[in-house]
Amino acid sequence: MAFKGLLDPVKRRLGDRYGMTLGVLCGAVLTLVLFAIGQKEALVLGIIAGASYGLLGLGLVLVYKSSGVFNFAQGEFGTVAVFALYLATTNGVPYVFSVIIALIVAGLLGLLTERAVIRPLAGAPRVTLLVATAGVSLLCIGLEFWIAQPEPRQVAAALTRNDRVSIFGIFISDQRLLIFVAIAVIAAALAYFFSRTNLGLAVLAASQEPTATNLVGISVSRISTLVWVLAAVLGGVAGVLTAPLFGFTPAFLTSTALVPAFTAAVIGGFTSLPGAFLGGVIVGVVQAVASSLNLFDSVPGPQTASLFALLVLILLVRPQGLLGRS
Amino acid sequence: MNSSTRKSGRLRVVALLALLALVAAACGQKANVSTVAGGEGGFTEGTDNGAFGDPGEGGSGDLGGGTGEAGSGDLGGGDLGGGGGAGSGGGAVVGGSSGGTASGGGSSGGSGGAGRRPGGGQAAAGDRTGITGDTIRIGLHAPVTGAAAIPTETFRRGVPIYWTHIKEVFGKKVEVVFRDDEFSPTTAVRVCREMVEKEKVFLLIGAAGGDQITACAKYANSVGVPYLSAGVNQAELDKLRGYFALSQTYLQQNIPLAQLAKKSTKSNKFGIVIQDTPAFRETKTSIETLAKQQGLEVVYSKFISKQPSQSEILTISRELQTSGADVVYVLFSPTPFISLAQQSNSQGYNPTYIGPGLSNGLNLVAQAGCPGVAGSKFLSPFPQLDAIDRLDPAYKQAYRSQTDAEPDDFGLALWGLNKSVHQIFLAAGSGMSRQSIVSTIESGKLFESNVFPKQKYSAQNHFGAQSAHLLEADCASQKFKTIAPFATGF
Repeated sequence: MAFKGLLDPVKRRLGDRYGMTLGVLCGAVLTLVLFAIGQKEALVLGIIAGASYGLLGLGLVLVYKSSGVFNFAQGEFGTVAVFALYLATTNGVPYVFSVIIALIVAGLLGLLTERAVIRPLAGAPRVTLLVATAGVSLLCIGLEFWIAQPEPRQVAAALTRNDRVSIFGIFISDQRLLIFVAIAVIAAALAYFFSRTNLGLAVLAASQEPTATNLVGISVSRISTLVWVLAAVLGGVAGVLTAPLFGFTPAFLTSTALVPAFTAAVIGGFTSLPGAFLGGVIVGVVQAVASSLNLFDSVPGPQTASLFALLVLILLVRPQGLLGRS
Repeated sequence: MNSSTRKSGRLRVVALLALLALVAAACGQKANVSTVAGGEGGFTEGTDNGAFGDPGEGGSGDLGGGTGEAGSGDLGGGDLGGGGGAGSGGGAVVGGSSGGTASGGGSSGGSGGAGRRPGGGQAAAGDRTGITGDTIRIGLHAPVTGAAAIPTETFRRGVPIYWTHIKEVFGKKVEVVFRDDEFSPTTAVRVCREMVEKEKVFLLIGAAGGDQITACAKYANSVGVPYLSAGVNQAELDKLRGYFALSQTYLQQNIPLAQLAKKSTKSNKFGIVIQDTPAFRETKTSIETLAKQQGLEVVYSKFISKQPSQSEILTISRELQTSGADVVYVLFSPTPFISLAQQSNSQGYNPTYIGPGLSNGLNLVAQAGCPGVAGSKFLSPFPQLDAIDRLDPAYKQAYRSQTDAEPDDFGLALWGLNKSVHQIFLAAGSGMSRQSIVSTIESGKLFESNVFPKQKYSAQNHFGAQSAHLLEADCASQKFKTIAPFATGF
């Protein structure tokens, strides 16, 4: 296509930095447009919401990067952790220990998922694994409804001050700031893990050439266990940090954040950890604009429609995502 | 196949799945999808096998002499004739069913319009499906899972309490078949069909959820099964001969709510947030108009998704705050309402939320939503637990004697609903049929349960509830309190 040909020299010149440059340019254009149309608040709201999506997206990227599986159970890893946090805090366990318990529970769920579902299906096509993770998610949701009842609940926040930081008149609570810190630390740690440690390289090797990896003495099954436990703990972090902001019910993260998080991961590039955050922010901003622009008043479900349109656009223009590699 | 090709393929797979998920989600939110799924083939469209006649088209008769057009009852299918015309002249109206022979009772002149008329005569022996020698079987549906779920165990515990307490009606036990509609209109039609065709229930009751009630009522109407529910929207339901609202509809509640908003506001700025569903569009228009009539400035009026994302909640919260609305009318399910109230509270924005309906006045909203929902006021078909002993002391006694648990407001809602149905059974008499239930309700008799509001229906008006209880969230006790029982205005 002529359009593609037009960009070829730029792509060659920028090499691996092309996606990042494209992402930054998209962000800059989006920011300018939002300021121009008087939607600067949507930018802040989008970034706030996008951080939550990005946090959940990190776990999705981790599993995909390590095993090539789209993990539909990621939301439930987080929701189960929230229930554990709720149970612990309401039974008088100090908050810090409650969080630790919640993350351990999430990790155990990841371990159980890997042992009971993923490992037995190790040789199966990836689509089978995808469906299996959806099954894990549905099972968790069913159990949550059965055991906990579909009541809305509140869980305490780690940090309670709401008015420390204000941007364009919007208060950003300390809990939200904690999400930003968490996402930055986790993304940096994972990026370091994959690029600078032997174990990270082993994880990537196991994903790309499992047989060869086994032959050189690396246990692919142990790597798989590690990845799923780690992903579940990341889901737990997402749940524990976002649930206090909205309250929660069974299927909390799956129903309110999984689809945006998936979209965020696809937009960012499913193999890119910073991409998950960038994608989250873009999704958040687009949803915020779709919610607030009167232009969309006559469109039913403008947020879902805008998300869908964005996803299609990105896949058409850059199928590997903004920061992903083809 | 190299790695990059595989990953590209996977991306396509996930894109396809996401697309399918979005389409599925979108379909689930469309009220009318369920109608298609339900396969209306009955009298509503004037085709075949209907049991009740439809109201006829409005005849514009002269004073004293107008004649409504014939109702569209079905050939041989119905026992009740079609409703008469809605003519301003109120002439005689002929029943539309060939099965019924009696002419409709048109008013004899004046400006009284003839709307729905019980045109057809009652059959000697109507349809008594669901009534056997020792039982009357009725069907009830509610969303105990799904986006606006209510606690399953608590709900199930409350279902049989009223009927167990009164023991028998006409020497028969009343058996309630309950189904979860999952807050989905499509599922609602499926479970209603199941209750009618497999469980052979006598009538159907919808506990909550406008889209589900509308979808199921349309199905019930198409197969001649009477359908009763808590009041929701009027759009589409106002065309159904076999449907009756046991409490005020949203449109009816909007009148006192606009007055309440005027009374509660300091800035005179009024916000509106309503669930994005076609059946609620009339409610949005209505409350906007009524608020303006009260002299309020409507500074914000928007729809919210049935399952809003975190981003949407953040945006709506911020926009409400920016608009300066100090009273906000809300009509959407409790979970997103709690999220919205919490988010607003974290921004230092605490308007007074008001609204119609049933679910947002439940105690679980106060428990999970405080302090964000503090001071919220909702109209409800039933009073809260603090007032029930004054109105109907039997409830708590019956609840305690039949269960090990303390009485709750879910049980109270079901108690009131079933008590209203009981009043209708008693009025219809021991020989009641599906057709005689409809004509009895339309007869103009006053139904009084002292829990749900008084109801008085006519052939023209199937939305006969006359008041509602005003509840207020008290965050000190984390419960709703009844601050105005059976309120008609403020």
